[in-house]
Amino acid sequence: MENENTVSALDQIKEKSAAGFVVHESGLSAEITEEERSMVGEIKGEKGVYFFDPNTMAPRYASIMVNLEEKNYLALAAETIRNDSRTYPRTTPLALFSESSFSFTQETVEIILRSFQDKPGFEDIEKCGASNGAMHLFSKKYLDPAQAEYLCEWDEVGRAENQ
Amino acid sequence: MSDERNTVLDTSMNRRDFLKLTGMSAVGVSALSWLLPGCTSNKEDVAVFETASGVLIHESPRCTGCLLCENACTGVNDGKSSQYLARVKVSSGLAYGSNGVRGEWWKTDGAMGNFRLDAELCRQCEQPACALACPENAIFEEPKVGAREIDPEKCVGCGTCERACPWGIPKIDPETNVATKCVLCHGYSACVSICPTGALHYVRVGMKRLGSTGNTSSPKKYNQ
Amino acid sequence: MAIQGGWAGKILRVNLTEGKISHEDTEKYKNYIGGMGFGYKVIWDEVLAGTKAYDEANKIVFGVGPLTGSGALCSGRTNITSLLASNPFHGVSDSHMGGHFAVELKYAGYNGIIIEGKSERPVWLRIEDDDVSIEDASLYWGHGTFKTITGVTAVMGGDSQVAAIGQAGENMVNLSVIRTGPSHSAGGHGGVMGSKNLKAIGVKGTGAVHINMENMEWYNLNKFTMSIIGANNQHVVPRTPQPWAEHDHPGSRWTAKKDLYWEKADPPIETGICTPEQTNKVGYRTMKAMLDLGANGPKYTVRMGGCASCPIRCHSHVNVPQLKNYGADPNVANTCMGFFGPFSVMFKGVNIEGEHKDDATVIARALGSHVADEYGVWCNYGQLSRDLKWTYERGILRRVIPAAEYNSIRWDLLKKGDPGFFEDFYRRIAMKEGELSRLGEGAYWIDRHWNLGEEYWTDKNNKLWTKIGYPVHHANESNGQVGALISSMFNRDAQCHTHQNFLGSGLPTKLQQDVAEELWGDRNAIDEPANYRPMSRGKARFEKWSIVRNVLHDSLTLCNWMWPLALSPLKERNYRGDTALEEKYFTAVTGEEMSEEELDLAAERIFTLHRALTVKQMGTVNMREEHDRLTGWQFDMDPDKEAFTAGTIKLDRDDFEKGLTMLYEEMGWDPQTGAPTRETLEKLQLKYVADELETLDLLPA
Repeated sequence: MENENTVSALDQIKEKSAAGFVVHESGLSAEITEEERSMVGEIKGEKGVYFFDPNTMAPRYASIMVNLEEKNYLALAAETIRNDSRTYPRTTPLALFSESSFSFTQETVEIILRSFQDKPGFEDIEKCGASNGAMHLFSKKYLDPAQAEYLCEWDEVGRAENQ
Repeated sequence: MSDERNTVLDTSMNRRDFLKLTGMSAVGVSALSWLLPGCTSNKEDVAVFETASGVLIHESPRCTGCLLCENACTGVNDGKSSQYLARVKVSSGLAYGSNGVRGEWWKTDGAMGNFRLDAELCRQCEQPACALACPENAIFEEPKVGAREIDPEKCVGCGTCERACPWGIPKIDPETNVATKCVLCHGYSACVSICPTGALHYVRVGMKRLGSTGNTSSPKKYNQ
Repeated sequence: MAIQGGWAGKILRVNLTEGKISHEDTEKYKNYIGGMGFGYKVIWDEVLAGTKAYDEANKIVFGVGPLTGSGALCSGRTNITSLLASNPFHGVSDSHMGGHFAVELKYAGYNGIIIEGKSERPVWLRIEDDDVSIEDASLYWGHGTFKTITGVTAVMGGDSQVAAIGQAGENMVNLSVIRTGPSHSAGGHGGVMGSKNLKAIGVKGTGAVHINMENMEWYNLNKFTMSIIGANNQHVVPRTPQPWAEHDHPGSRWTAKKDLYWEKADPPIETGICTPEQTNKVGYRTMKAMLDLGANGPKYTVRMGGCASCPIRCHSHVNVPQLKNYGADPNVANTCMGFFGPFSVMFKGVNIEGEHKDDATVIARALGSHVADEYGVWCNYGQLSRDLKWTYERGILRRVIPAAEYNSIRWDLLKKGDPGFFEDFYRRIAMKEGELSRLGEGAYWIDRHWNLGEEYWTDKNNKLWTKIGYPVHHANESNGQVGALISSMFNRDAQCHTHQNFLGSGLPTKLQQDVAEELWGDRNAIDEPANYRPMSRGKARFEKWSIVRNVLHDSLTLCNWMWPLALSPLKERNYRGDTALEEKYFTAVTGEEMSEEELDLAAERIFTLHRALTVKQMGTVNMREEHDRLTGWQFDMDPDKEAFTAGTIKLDRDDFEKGLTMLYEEMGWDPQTGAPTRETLEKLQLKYVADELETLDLLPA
């Protein structure tokens, strides 16, 4: 235990990132130097600064981790859906949020779905369904609803039939 | 040695388990020569070989039978690709296991059976049957890694080594009429390095695992 | 047997009528690279137009290429070329199989086998290096592929490789396969072997393929390829969000993740997170059983497997003890359509008492695969089961099948969801029992016999792509016109994965468009999925490149389900792969300097020869009207949507005609008819083809 203080902040961040986690500034047992800071990635959350090693962790994943750390489930879900619709583009299976790395509880998923409907700021987020009963979400700001419907069906049913 | 712990497969295991893992306990005591010095030789006065620095082991459950190990073995050592010459032998029992085709083949090893794949590998025996049998004394201990190696100048291609080895590792190259065998790639184990499922390991005889890519004197980078 | 320069130097010729075995010098065929190229050349030179698939005059060519057996990554495939009986004009076509047969053939010293004539009695071909003989197969005739392969191996030794047909092939069922190993099938030509009374080919080789490159340089070339290779289908991002990955995609076959195991391995093996740098874990990236067998697939997975020299293990090897209840071997290996094709025969669903639905799915998929493989029945890329469903549901089977036969069919098992139905169904198909077995003739012939009407072809859900009688295989759902036009060029389903792998890589469309601009000079070659734009020059170039590389791979032979490696999982390379790698391998192995463009041109020669062969066989230059015609649903689907609007993959008739014209232009074919011109044929060193076509009046005006 006495050696703990001798582990540099950089090494702590590297170790955590390699294991798939970000490090909150308060979680570092050694002061992070300016030089070290230039070598790591950082994300400012609502509850402080988080560090990660960009060599083993992608910024997008670090951002997911920060949101999970801060329990910003609603914002995380919305950002994930918008990113999927904007970037690839694709719809986001609701089931994604029950799997790792999200691992939301069923209750959380239900709250999120209600919030998308009721809360301001999520008017762009819509649901669509596939013939196998699966529900997907997308942002109509980035994805046409008809296209979303096709992509959802393709993801759930079509792809497996077209190998 | 029997109590020595090791980290093969990232698990702590005793010597018996280790032997089981390498599949040698089933082969019989003679197969353990690289671990149990002196077991294979009846000639008490012949102890000319030091233990090699390490050996290759094959982890059956991870092996998927791509044979890239065999390609790499002969590509690096012979400048050609050949299953016949390869010193990592997965191909010989690929379809039906090392015992060949049986009536109830679906119950036996191999891709046509229960899917289990085994490999024959050079044990770098402490009392190497190949070397002891060689009438030309052409098999010597390479000083760097201690692999038993064939001197092509001395080899007359008689095939005695091929017949002497219980695992059929040495092979006469039909194109050169010279015997060849595993030389541990003089230290970097191409087969271990290429294996896409980490089923091959280079394990120091002291049983310290070097890892799948361990002990590779990094070959020069391919310059594309 | 020293194999210098990649080519083995000789091709084996076996005349079964005369029992004569001879050799051909490879030199004559080198312009056609190998594999598929050799096959077309032999058929052009030696099989007269008008020959039918099962005629004694037909030939079947097993071809491998300069890279086969070299150890180049993913170089284990065998290309089989012959006339295809399910095709209305018995057009030339290819079937392919992976496994280890191809490399063994090469080590035995051959670039291919030309089988001609017809044996009087059932035989198998034994090849042990230079020692080749025709052996009696009466012991195996009438038996399934597993027993045959095992029997031949018992004679030849455990280190041999065998390709065999089942009862379907023996009985000249059009939809029949040639199989090798536990899980590798070439669909379509089993009946040709059967027609020649050739049950199996066993091969054992002790030779070596020499590499014309310094040893370590060669080794590092493979290590470099290993660094840019992705998962199955060259998907380059993981399926789920993972720490190392900037991108992920739910369609990716990079399925490895934490807590995902080969559960029946002893001890169970975790696929885990596999980063691109961990090249000793490449083989874990694709845990295919979770896709092939559904949610409970991992529970039954012993390991993954695949082909010679390939680090991507895309074949699921499962142990399903419940199969014993059906009298089947519990160990089953297969991949993709090998599982899905038979499974969809159970179109009323699967229901097994006492089994969870996910376990029932595994049981049915594994059993269906095993039964179809044992009989050696081909699924025609899923069409066989659709044809069963279509004709059953519309009462056609009841109309065309005599009552006694109809009542003997185990419809009760089908209705109950009991996978015992597989045995009843596949036996009838393979043994040509009764009228139902016509389903095994293929779509075109079923319609001819049963008069299914235009609806059969125009029903979108029936997925028939052209009236030649094959279905969608990465067609308009794959970048609109790109997949659509590629799918119209062959004499069976286009087994082209070049475009599909690129589009399915998992990378964002914009990034794919950047690469498209680099490769084809036009970012408009790629559209967002299901938001297609009208035909463009960039798309035509993408189509041509996709086909040319596919043909190149089947000639070299490399696996087109992995190659080309246009993209990579490496962020530091900005996800670029290396499209010159085929050329680097070619030069490394053969020692012959050939640029990427020159190699592509050689493949263009092969594909144009295929087109010329089709012109000759069909006896018309008018490929546009006679060959490349779609069934119609592609233009009429989604009646409430216009083509080129978001959310539909609908095509437009005028745009498709324009697309054909543009692709013909890219290929140097006549823009009106789509037939190769003399000028192009001569440019591709195919003057003799032009001369022959001219005598037949089959050159475009």
